[in-house]
Amino acid sequence: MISLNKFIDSVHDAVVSANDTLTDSSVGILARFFNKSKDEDGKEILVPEEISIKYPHISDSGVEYIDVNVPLLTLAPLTCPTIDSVEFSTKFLLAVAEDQLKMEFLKDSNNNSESQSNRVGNLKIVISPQDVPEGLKSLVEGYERALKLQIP
Amino acid sequence: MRIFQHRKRNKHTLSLCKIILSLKEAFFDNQEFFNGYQIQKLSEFYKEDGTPVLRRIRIDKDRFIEVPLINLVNYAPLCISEFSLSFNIKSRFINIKEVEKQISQIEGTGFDLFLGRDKGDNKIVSVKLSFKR
Repeated sequence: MISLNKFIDSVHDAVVSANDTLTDSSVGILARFFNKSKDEDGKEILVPEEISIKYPHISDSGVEYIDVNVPLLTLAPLTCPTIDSVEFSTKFLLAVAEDQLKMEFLKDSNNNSESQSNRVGNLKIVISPQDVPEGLKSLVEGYERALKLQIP
Repeated sequence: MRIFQHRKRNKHTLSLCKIILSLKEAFFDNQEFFNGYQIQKLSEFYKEDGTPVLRRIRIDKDRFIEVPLINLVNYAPLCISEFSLSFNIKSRFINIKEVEKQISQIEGTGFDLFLGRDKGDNKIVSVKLSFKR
């Protein structure tokens, strides 16, 4: 038997952990496309991985090829997987212990006498992304504006 | 208003009122858990003094930019947007006045209580307590 509170928290926790893994994967993009290095002050910097491509350029003397350094990040399709929605539903026996509502799972879902008992309840939980709080959204947008000003 | 009785020991009983309360408690506890998680998550993006965690990225030979980590991740907090609990009870265990009182208490909180007669047995009432954000 498990209390309703703990059960709901467990389901939510599992989904949030899965989402955290996906969030970490977007941080992982940095590791895939940037190399860690140090600047003159010894501070850590991320240097984009680049490949050099010969690019044709027409000059007075004809076609010349110039080297263009292309960050790998701009060549790879970037996808950020996210969880759209998780729907969880279960059948359980309602029970009481220590004056609290508890859930007891059916041992055999094909057992008619058990599944037709009037103690059987159905629980459905839908977990979906919530809008980022306005304050945080404004901060992130502010950072983005500052970033755009710095990028040539 | 007793609804469920433990078959072996009759001393364990649960009222519809208690079920509604348990579900509300479970939901609000979960909200607290979620709020705590949100704050803990933010600590990954901000230092204790409030400055954002930055990644220094080289954009050309001589220039670097400092990008807040929060701008580099796909942060979409997940929370419970909907849940429902449904079960059947015998109609003799329902006190309409008390149910009406319960409904008035949960009005405006996103909770909804639905009571309907079972088609096969009119002594059975199906109860659905739901929440939608």
